Amino acid sequence: MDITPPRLSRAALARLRALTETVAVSGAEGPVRALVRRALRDHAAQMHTDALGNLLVHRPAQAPRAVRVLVAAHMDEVGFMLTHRAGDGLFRFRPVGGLRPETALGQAVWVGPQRRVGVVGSTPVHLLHGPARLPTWDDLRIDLGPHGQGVEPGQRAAFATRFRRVGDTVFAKALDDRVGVATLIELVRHAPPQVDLWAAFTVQEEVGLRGARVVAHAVQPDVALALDCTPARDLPGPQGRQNPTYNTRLGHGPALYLADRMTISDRRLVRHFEATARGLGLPYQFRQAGGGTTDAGAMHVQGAGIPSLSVSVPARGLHTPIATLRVRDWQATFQLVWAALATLTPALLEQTP
Amino acid sequence: MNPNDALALLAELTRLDAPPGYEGPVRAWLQARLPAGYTARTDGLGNLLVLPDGAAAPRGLVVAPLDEVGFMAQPGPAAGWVRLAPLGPAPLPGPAAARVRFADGTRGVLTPDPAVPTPKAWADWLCDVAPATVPTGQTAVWDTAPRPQGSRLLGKAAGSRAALLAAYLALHAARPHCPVAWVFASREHVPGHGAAPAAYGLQPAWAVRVVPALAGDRPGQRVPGLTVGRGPGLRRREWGRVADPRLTAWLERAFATHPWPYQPEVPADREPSWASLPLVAAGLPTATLSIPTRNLHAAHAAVDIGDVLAAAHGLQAALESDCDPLG
Repeated sequence: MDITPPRLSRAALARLRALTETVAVSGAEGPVRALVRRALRDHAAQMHTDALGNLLVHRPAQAPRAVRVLVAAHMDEVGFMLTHRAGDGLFRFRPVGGLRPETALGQAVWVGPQRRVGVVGSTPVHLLHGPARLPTWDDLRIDLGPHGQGVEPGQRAAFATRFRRVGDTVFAKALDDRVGVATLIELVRHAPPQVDLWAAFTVQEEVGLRGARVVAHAVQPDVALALDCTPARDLPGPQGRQNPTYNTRLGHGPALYLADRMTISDRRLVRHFEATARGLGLPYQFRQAGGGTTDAGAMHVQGAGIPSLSVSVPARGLHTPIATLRVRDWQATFQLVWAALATLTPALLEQTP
Repeated sequence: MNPNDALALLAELTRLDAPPGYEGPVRAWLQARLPAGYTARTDGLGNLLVLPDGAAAPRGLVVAPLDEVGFMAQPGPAAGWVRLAPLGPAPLPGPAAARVRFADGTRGVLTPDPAVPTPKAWADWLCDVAPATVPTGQTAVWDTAPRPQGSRLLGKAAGSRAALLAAYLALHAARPHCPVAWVFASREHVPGHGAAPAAYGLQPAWAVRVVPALAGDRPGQRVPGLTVGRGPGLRRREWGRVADPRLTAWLERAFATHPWPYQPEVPADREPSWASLPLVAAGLPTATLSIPTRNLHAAHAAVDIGDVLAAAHGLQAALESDCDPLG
């Protein structure tokens, strides 16, 4: 294949760090949006925040007959919303997005855009009598202590997890989908000249793909891509047996979606991405069909229908305080998406779906 | 069309494989059999849109599914074994081994995973494809040949194809007084809403869907439902939607003036995607005719050809009676 995709820079990793350490729970994505705006202010022909809060960035093609491509990555993360004061700096709260109560037990959280530190308490072992049971959300409180002054119900909170890199591995919160956001930033900064690129940094994906729905309706692209982060379930099963129901595996490259809960991917796009990966010798894997979904679930049925595909970086421990990904998977994801867009032509879409 | 010919056509259609998103064979079958005066095109999602020549904006829409429930191969625990992810509401197989056929012709036999004491989900079943191998992502359908039995057809996809056949027969027979388009919709068995984007593009004033529906006529059934052989269902309510009463009355009038039977239907079960059509654009009044199907979406579904013909005739009569059913 006669193209050489760019590589992720050190600055991209620094941006991923900043993005994952920012609190932007669904419906309150402002802090991430501000970071994205700063990163792209010199690279966009047009930048626009719509009524729901989606940030749309346009990089026009520098070639005739370009395919109009919408690439979406969601800015929001799962987290919590404070619902009631419970006195003495304590707050009741509820999850925003898919979270299990036990993941919050004993965790530090950042509350609000100022990232005030709070703690979700847990009963010490000394005080436990009889078998422990799993908590419900009603059992839990966020304890802000003296920081509770000025904090109001309605504010969001997220796990207080610092970004760490150890060799090829990144440990961080909110990799779903800050790694997609970071990838899309790089894609805009190094946009392939052959495509009419509409980058959508979307809101409220974790609570029902709401931002992507209106973005796709507004842009009406020829093709839509969702860049996301998908669960890897590749740890050994009981007694060290291989877990046969893994979703994706770390270290095996970007995950191409064939089908998920809401979307059956466009076959032409799947074939094109697969051929691109093979041509460049990039690793890739198919994400197992079944549950879960991405912004593509909303985008592909907008207007008169939009051929769509999701491409994800695999990560362990999503929707928990700390997730894990391999930098080489991220690198390959960026390069594959860049190269596949650089070689996307209208002829592909003239084939029968 | 006489019932025997219709039954043969239905058997022919059920022999084609069209899991959601992979409906090429059924689409090609329809494209090769378009009536004169109509043109077909395929949209970006794979829907087949059939429009009267020269009609830019159809007044009405008839929608039927192109697809059937299917499966997608997932990695298995050892060579020669895969797991299946269902594409659509495929019921779990019973204790006896059921068979599937993959897109490359490989056959697989389903068996419960011995590591799971009580299989409750598709992930708890294994599919034996040995000595072959099947790559992850390859699609499959039930491996069942159609078997006519009197006026009935037993086989895979019998309900879905019966709905398609009713719409196809109406397309060939009806002479509507205004432009009506037919959408043979991709991915109708998964929450993909294939017909909804097509309707958004065509902007009709109303739509009638023809769909398969679970029959509720087994002896002792706790909640009785549609009976096979007593005509199509005329749905009053969808999950989360009420059928447009003007369109329902219009279809009822067409059936009432002819000898074709129909049954009022209020389905108890939730369906995956068919509720999206009424919410297209600024709203699309929608009614639904359903074909009663036993063992819906299972390896051996059963339909009665009389129900298919009644649905086709009733739809034809409605389309030829009035082009402005909304009043």
